Amino acid sequence: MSITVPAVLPPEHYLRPIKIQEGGLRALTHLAMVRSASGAPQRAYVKQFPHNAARSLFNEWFGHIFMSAMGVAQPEAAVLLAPVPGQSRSAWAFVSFEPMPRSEGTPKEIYNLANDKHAQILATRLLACHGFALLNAADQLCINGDRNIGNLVFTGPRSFVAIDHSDILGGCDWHIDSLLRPTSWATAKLAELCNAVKPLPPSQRDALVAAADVAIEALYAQWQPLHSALQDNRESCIALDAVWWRSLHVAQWYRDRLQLLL
Amino acid sequence: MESDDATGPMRPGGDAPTAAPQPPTLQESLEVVAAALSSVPPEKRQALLGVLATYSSDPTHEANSLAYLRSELAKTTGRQTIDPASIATGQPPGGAT
Repeated sequence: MSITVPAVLPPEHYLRPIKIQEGGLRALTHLAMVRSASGAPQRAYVKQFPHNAARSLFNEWFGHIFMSAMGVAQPEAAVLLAPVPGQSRSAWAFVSFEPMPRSEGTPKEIYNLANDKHAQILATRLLACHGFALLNAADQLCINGDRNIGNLVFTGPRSFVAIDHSDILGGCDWHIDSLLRPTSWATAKLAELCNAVKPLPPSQRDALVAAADVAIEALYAQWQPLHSALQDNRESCIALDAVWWRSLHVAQWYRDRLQLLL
Repeated sequence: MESDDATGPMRPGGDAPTAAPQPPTLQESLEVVAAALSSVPPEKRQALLGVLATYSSDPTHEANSLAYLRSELAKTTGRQTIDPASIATGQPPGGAT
């Protein structure tokens, strides 16, 4: 399992804007042409964050590195000082390149959950994806209560990549003391969505619990490389320590949760 | 002849405000609602107008009604976008340069 760190690209890698994404409530996102670290021009989603979401960019960066250590599939990502749409200034942005070679879009773009048939198809598809249980566990470890149907992109019939980690660690404005408090568990929105459509069979529950164990093992195995990748600064160390403390209880939480609520 | 009002809430160039942001005026809020209403399906528009009429019958709830409509429209249309002027310049995470 290899850890990937978003490249810090020079500003000239930003080539041109394509379109502003409507509907963003936490970030200003626009589609743009950006040269990746390899130099190839690619379509990419450029996310810039408002003053009241001070941790969002850090969360995206930390989340990408952490998820890669957990083995969760993600698109190539970077950090870039990019122009702010409609403004004559630049701001640091988190850049997610469009998944290659295939990007079907997010479940939110593809399915209408108000339609029962769509909800059933989506639940079946999510549960059939190889990385679904692991994503749930990794999200719980990094305190992500916002893994919703707009935060992953299908790349095939049974595959997806995870995007948008801006709300991990309890939110976009976490403080050190909020990470030191006793663990509060994040809502497992996707698992609960699937369970609402059709109660999860024992095999799926077992898979979720097993994935929690796998994620914890991965965290311990990757502990030192993770510290190195996160550059050992104070903010990163505090966030990683919060994840470690959480790892002591997450498997048991999954067992309890699956018995009581799912 | 009217003079330009350089102290108005919208400033060209998007300079950072020097004073605490003021809540939107009723006129500004109504413009937001009107623009949003024009982009929702007719059946939802009718329901939202009903809410507005109900709340507006009691002036003490006027601000609440507008806030409620804004939140409902944001959920319904998903078209609200963050104001570019509110974007923070920030810094690269992890001490990266």
